[in-house]
Amino acid sequence: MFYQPEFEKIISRRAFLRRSATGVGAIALASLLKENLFAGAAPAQQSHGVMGALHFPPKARRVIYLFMSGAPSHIDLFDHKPKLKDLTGTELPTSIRMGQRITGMTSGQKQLLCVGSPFEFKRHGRSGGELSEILPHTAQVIDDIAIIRSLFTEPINHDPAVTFFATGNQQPGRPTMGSWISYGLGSENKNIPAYVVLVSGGGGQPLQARYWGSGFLPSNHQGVQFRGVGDPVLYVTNPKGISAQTRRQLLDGVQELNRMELGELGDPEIATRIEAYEMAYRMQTSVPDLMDISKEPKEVLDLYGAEPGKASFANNCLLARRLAERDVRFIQLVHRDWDHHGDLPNEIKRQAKLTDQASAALIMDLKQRGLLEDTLVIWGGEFGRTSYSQGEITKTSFGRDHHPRCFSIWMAGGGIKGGITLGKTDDFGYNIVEDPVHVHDFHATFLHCLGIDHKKLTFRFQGRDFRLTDVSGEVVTKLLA
Amino acid sequence: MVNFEGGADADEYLTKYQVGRVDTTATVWLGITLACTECHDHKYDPFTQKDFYRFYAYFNSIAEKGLDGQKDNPAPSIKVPSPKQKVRSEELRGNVAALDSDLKQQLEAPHKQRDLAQVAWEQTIRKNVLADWSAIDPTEFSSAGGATLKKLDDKSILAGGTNPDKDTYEVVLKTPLDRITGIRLEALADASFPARSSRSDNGNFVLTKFEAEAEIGEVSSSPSEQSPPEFGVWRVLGPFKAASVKEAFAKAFVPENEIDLGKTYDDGQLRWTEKPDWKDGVVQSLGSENNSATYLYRTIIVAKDRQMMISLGSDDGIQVWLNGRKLLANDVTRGAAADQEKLLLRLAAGENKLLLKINNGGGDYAYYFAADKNSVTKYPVQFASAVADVNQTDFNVQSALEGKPNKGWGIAGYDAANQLDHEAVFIAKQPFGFVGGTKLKVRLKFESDFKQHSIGRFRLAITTSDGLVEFAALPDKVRNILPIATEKRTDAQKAELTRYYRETFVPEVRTLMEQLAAKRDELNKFEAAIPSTMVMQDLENPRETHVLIRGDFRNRGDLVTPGVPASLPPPPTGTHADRLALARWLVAPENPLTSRVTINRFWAMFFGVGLVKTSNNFGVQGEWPSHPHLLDWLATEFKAQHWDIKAMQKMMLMSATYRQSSKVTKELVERDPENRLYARGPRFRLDAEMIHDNALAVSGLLNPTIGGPSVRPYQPPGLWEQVGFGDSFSSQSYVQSKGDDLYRRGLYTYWKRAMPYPAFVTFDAPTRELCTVQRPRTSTPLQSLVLMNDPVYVEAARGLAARVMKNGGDDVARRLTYAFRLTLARPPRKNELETLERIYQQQLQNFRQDKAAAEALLSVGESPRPTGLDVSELAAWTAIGNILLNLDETITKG
Repeated sequence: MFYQPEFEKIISRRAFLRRSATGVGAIALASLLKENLFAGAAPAQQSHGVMGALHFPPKARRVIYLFMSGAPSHIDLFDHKPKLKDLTGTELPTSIRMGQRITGMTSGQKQLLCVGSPFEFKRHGRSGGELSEILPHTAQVIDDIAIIRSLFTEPINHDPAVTFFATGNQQPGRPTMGSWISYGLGSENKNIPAYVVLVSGGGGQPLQARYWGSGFLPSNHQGVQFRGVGDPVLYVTNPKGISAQTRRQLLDGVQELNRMELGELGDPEIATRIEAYEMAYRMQTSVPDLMDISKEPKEVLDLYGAEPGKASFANNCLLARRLAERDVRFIQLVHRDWDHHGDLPNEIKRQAKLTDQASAALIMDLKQRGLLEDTLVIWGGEFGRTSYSQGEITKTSFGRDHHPRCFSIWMAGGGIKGGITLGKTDDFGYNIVEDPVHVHDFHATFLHCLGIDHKKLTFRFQGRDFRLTDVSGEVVTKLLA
Repeated sequence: MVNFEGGADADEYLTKYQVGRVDTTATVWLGITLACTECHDHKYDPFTQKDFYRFYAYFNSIAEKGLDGQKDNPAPSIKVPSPKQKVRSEELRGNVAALDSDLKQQLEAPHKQRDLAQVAWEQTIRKNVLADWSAIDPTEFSSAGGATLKKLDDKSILAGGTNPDKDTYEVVLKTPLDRITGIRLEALADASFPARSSRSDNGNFVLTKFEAEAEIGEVSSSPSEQSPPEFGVWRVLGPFKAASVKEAFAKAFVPENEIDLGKTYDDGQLRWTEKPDWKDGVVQSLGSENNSATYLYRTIIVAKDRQMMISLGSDDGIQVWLNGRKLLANDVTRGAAADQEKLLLRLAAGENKLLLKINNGGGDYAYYFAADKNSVTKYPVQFASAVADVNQTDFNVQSALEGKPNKGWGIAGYDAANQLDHEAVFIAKQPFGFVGGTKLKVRLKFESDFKQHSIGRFRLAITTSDGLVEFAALPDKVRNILPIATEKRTDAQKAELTRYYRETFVPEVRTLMEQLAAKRDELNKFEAAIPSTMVMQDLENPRETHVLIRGDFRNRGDLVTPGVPASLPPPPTGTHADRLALARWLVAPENPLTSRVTINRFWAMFFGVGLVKTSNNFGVQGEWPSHPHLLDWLATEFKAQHWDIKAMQKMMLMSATYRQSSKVTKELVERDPENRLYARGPRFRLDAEMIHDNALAVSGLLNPTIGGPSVRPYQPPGLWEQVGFGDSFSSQSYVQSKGDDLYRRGLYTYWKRAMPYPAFVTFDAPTRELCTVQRPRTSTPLQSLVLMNDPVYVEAARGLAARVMKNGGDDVARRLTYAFRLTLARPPRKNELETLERIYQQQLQNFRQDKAAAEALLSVGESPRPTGLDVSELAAWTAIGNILLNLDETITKG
């Protein structure tokens, strides 16, 4: 987050006692960790977090992660399967399914009938990347994004799959991507947390606060939810009857008394607390200012389709840019309702309409401000959807169940080669036939873009050094610029 | 954590629950990282993967389900009634049992008068169904299989000649009747057949499909009378919101059989509006309101009585009324499209009123309407149900409507007792036919694999009796029994019929049933209100436990029995290896870990850090104890004191080490920043719940009640709802507690793991997803925001202010001292007092100048504001309270 947490200081002091004779605190910590973790690594840029120096020169300094909760269908958005259209209504061959575990929602179905996408696909841009007609805006930034058609995961249900994508493990309890980044790199902004979360959309799969939780990392590394309605950050608003001026007066009182206590007892923790209060006060003005998009020029609002005062994905994308401008490390947007078990053609169109324009606008806007160079943008859900229909196929409707064996996401910006499509799936969009990318590989790659060796960013818990990529993960070099 | 995700694998989660139990037990009592051995042998400590699954086996006998807990406590759970509730519950159960046995008596015992009345009732019904028929003389008849069909004098048709394996008879009947409600088929025995009752050798037949088509009898209308119908403009009313999609479908938001276009609904919010732009033949959106219903209304004017076919579609459910009569009700979830429903409208000359009701669960909301403006002259008859006097097992006449291969109506004709005349009645969904006469084409199909299973002689009859419609409305069971001759009914069938008759028509029985239902309802409600608690309960036959290779629940290795890790002292031999044995082993004298691990955790509670700093790991990767002999002594003393926790706590708290001043010098910080050598007293931030309780205690608001259900303090709105899944699961929307429950201790705060109470999480409360014995301690700006602005703390400051003004004496200094002592348990130093006094005067002036601000500040929180105190003064003291509750020293121990 944005100050030196006590937990880390404890480590540093202990280490300091063992090894050094002078100095306490962050400097000792940083140098120590550099010694331990980065022996032999070429000197790189400094971080503000637990990592003293980065493992590689970083391409990205911050991340905007657009999480599409519920799992958008790769077959209807990114992974064009013309042959599947011809096979609509025929049984999925067992040679394709290969006994794959399927969910309790379709395992009782007598038939698994293939169903092609009702949407047209076209090639766009100089790169000729292929996209579904329901993503016309994304088509405009096709040369800036890298589509990965060959991502795969392990769980087959939402909660474990979201948890897996967020933390590298299916069971709750481990830190999310943003927490690792906050822990590893710290913050460059003293007024805003390092890890900010914005939620939009309703209905569909429920969310869990742990999708942006810090797991076993200290809680100051958890994502802080910024909200479009009510307090932009919980409790940031003064109570009724307390003006900003009164707050300052009362805070001066608190700080005066805290300083007296510091003088009496000499405990450095009191100094940390005093500093935390000053930051809290700064947040009280900086956060509402940050969240107020009404002063954005009309053309910017129109670019995103944002409307001040409304809670929407479009507003959140615009806020993501404002947060990126303020050097927030990890900005996570969560958009709900991509879980299209039934009536997919209509439902996916609706979600595409709510997200396509703003996602593309974010890329354009970051680019024109020169921010895309060092901002990594990620767009995607927790798994893919089946090439067979859940429920009946009618002229206008069908559904798709969960499919972990392949799915598509896109990445853009810092460190990523734009205008490419990586990986290939079979004619059914069921199995990967080229360049498989496991979720752990994706994690390794995104950390690499930030200058982090995924094997070296660890935290000891329950006797083990844990990391985001658990015990595997390979950087996907084909994606790197 | 119990899972209920749709499509999740129950076995996978059963596995995860046991893994969680192993991890928790091993961490809390043994301080070992046995969790590492779920997938492989431990890399550092002497534990194998087999050890893990043997430990796991102790828990693998619990009677729980893999997927559970959608609502209320998951199994196994028990009700925990208070003694008073227990008495009342037994009393209610007694009442229910008495009424139940009374009712049984009333339903079953012979009763001359009732039985006579029942016979009369049966006769009426039988008359409706079985008697009031007009047999029709067929005008055309043919056999597709080539049998020779001959019409007999009794209007029946007799088959002879070729006897094909499969056959279809087609018969045309002409009748002047309209509004036909049913067709009767008599399968008659004939001496010309090998076994009397059919053309087959064994006397049985299988009617695989029964179909009929109605056609206009005589085309008498002149072209001018075929003028097209006039459709009125669509009018729409809604959406009416409901709690659920079911309610939206079922609830009559307006009187549905009598539309009043002038009326408004929902306090004038909703009124009928015209939609001149709406077109037929396209899917028309109705907005996007979830769990709602919308009414659509239009008139149709026709010159003459006529019939019209309409096509309907809906997203989601649909209901249709014509001229106040309900024609269709289909409670479905779907997207709207053409032809989802086909409906025949019988329009009367003049204005007809058509009402549709479309309800929506979620997502898109739409309907489809198209009318075939040509007058209908021919259509297939749709049947609602069918009954027969005899139904062979698995060959019920109902299946002759469905036309499934190798199903149909059979009469067990191979049994000589059934080689007689039989009859079946097919009841229409809507009355059919045409004014001025109807031509009926009936098809009987015999297409089963049983060869030559055709009816040999049959007669067709029709009825226009409304009684048949009533008959069709009877429950399946009753409808199937009634056509059976009384002497042929089984005892069970007789009892069923008597039961139905008495339940439906005997007032005394009805009254008794109502009383029983009411009492049962009372009992259920009463018992539902009794709190339940989750328990551990063993299955009668424990599940087998295997080593799971790489921890994968689908990949089973060796079978194992319950047992403790082999590197630890074994439990006594000869004991049954169950959870009780495990519990005894944990506290057995030879167990080296439990007492050390536990006492170390208590030490950490009081001193901030344990003697073993890694209180969750006593393995080789853990930290060596700072004072090994002290730890050993405490551990043995703990056992010697018979595990008396209170005695051990008292001893630690009264030790000279604990009672030292926590003041530090620069030198001490440098030499021992974490105070592991105890040259000073402990000093660290309180845990989340304690910070909360401390503020409430200081304010005088704390409610010290012990036990009871969890409570829900003030929380910013919308947090649960934003992540929720709707009310089919418990606790999806936050309902804040009221009154005293707002001031309970923090440990009673309701804990929703998907969105835990934010003020606690901010202060490092674990999310309770993983066993946590060591909380991190951070200091963050978000914490400052909670203490400054959370209504819990603002209200606590007001409580403190009121307390100070009432009990703190008269002058400011005395009051400040009182407030300071309440909060920090020490008198203020001179400079502290000066600072506070200065700010008090400043704030008093503030709030004197701005009374509105004072009022606003004092309005935070639901506890009543004390009366008789000066508003500005109370606000100024509240401001002081806010300062005091925000001090580092207030939230720090030591």
